Amino acid sequence: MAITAGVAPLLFVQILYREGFYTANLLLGPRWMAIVPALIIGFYLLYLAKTDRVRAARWLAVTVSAVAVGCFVFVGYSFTENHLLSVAPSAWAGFYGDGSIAYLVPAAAPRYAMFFLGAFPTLAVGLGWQLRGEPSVHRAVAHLGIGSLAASAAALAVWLLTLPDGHRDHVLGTAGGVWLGLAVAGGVLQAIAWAMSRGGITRVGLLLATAGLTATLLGMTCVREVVRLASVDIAAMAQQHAHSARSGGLLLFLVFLVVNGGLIAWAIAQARKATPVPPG
Amino acid sequence: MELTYFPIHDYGPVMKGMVIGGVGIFHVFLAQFAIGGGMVMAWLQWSAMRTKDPQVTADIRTFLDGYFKILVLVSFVLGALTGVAMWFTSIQVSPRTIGSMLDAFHWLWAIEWTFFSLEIVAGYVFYRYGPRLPDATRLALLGLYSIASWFSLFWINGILSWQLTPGAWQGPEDVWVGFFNASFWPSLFFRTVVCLTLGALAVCVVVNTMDVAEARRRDLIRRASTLLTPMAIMPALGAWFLAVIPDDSRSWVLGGSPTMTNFLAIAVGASTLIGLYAVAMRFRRNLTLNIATSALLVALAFGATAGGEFVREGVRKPYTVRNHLYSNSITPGEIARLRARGSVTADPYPLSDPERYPNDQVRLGAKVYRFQCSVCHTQTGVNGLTHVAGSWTSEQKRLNFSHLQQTRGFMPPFAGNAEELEALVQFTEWLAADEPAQWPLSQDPATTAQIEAWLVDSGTQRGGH
Ligand code: HEC
Repeated sequence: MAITAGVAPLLFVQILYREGFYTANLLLGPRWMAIVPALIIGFYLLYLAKTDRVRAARWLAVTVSAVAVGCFVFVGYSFTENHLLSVAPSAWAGFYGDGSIAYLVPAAAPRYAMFFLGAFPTLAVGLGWQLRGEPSVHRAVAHLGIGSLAASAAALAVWLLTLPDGHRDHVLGTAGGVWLGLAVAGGVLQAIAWAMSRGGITRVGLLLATAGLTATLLGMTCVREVVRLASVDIAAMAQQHAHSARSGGLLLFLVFLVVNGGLIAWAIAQARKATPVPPG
Repeated sequence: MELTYFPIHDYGPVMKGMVIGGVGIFHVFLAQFAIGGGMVMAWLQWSAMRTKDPQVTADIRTFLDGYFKILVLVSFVLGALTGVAMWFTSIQVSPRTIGSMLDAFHWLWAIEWTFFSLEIVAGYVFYRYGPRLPDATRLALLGLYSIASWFSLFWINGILSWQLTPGAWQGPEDVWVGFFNASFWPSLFFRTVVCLTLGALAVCVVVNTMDVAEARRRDLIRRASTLLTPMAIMPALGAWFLAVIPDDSRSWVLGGSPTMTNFLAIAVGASTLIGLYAVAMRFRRNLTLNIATSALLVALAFGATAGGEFVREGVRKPYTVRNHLYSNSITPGEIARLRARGSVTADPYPLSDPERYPNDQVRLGAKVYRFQCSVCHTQTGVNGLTHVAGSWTSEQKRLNFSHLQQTRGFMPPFAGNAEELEALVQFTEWLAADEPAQWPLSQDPATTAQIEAWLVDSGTQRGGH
């Protein structure tokens, strides 16, 4: 599911920032493409981890899950690296000439930490919805929410401090400031929601946390793009995009978006019709 | 997309086309199996619902649930991931080609994505809840899954066939002209039949590995193999496809290029064997498919896919988008400019191993090779420059490199100046001489003048066949 959802943004990143994206892809070459086998291995290991035989042996279950998680962490890291390389045109020729296979710059660490830690508040909201009916874990989920928000905020601060001056100006300037503000406000909202939920998760609390999370994700995505935009030649790209924009099919896309979206909703609704699993 | 220099990697003796071809064949096979698998399942579910015998219905349901798990685990997941791999390898081989495909059709890719999402969701719901759903809902879900996955094929097929026969397409504003191109329908129908065949054969393999009573097994195989019937129109569809592709492409598969002809023969031969077995099954009622035979047929189908995809990639040469973009990412319109300016003068990427070469001329040659030839040739490995031209005299190389498009119709015209061409000749000879540490410079003005004259003579247009 995540892969499917991930394809769309990748597609548009490609259209918007093609030179940088392609170049970073090529420069990292096999290293970048290793994310595909990593995804495959990670996926099948997760599947394996759920089988009874693996579950029976604790050490095996732990190892299998750990390797799977390692695969996904690697994939996440590769994305960070790819992004950083794609916004650093001045590094390209040297990177190629040296035959490097990894773009290890100090900037990668805080950036990755931020996105990695940032996944946990999302997890908390997901868990909150899923475990609404199990009050015994509500307190733990709320703590996960608050704790991971604090950690993410710290990572955000470190990231801001380590950004190159030029980039930081964009993030804190009018273009980025609005989005950064939105993201922070969303974070505060989530924190309030989780604080409210420590005694028990309510529907209102969850809705609040979800709204906050949406704001944060939207805000951070835009902040990220502001940095990316700051590194490309906008005038030259505008012309290229005007060329791409003439390509037809938008209307049809919207039609299919609605129709297929409806069918997807229908398919999901069918799951409700399933007879419950017999106990045992 | 404008001419942009990308960092081109050297994969040693392995041709890049082989990498993309390998991943591509695997992906196409899995994806077509996923589509066909869905169609066959929808068909079996429907035929199960029509029988009056509740035992038969129940048996088929059980089989479908087991089969779908395999379909999901193998083709769904691997198919989607090899799709991503496909995209990455394509970027590695030719970012500009992918760029053009997106430029020209980005909303269609977006549409394809909506279908892909629907396919995933319908498939997932069936996978998770199918065994506990009423028959009508199951049929609807399988139907949605099949239709959505078939439409993925529909959209992608348009873009792939556009690469070979763009026809009157001139740019992004001609989306539909490019999409519904001459080879669109024959290849869509052809691929649909292939999907059905793969789906039906896979059912036959899987049913043999499952714990089902003998009578039920025969029954399932018989029901599934009904879907082999459309294979009968494959020859006609193939002929239709051949009829609409460009003349030179057709002449290569029909004997002009031994390699391509061989691959076509493999595809046709393997398909014929499968078809013959299907016919035999129709007429000999007691003939059925045991695991060995069905696995063999699946292997044959894989061979046919491999052959077919190789031919499809091969006949496009020297273009990745016919008449618009050469395989080495140069457009026909840019050749004249690059001949005047030099093809790698503006290439910002240094050689990754400059100390390997004896002098600057050979280094220049290596860069020219990297930019213009390395998509299709390795240095000394598969289809290596030293193999195709190693035994030629310098004079022959100069003549033939400057007349590349006439030397072989599936090469683009040389796109650099005379100094670059001579550098490429020196590079090739230095490679063929086993890379000695010392190598003389070749700087005779008469040679340069001769090459210039030959380049003028060959022109900047595409050659004959
Ligand atoms: C579109 C792919 C493509 C590109 C680009 C390409 N070639 Fe080729 N070339 C081929 C193929 C395919 C053959 C045929 C190999 C065979 O017959 O086994 C070939 C054959 C040759 C031959 C042998 C011709 C003969 O008649 O025996 C030479 C020499 C050659 N290429 C040189 C070059 C040089 C130099 C470049 C770069 C300037 C280049 N090629 C670029 C695909 C290409």
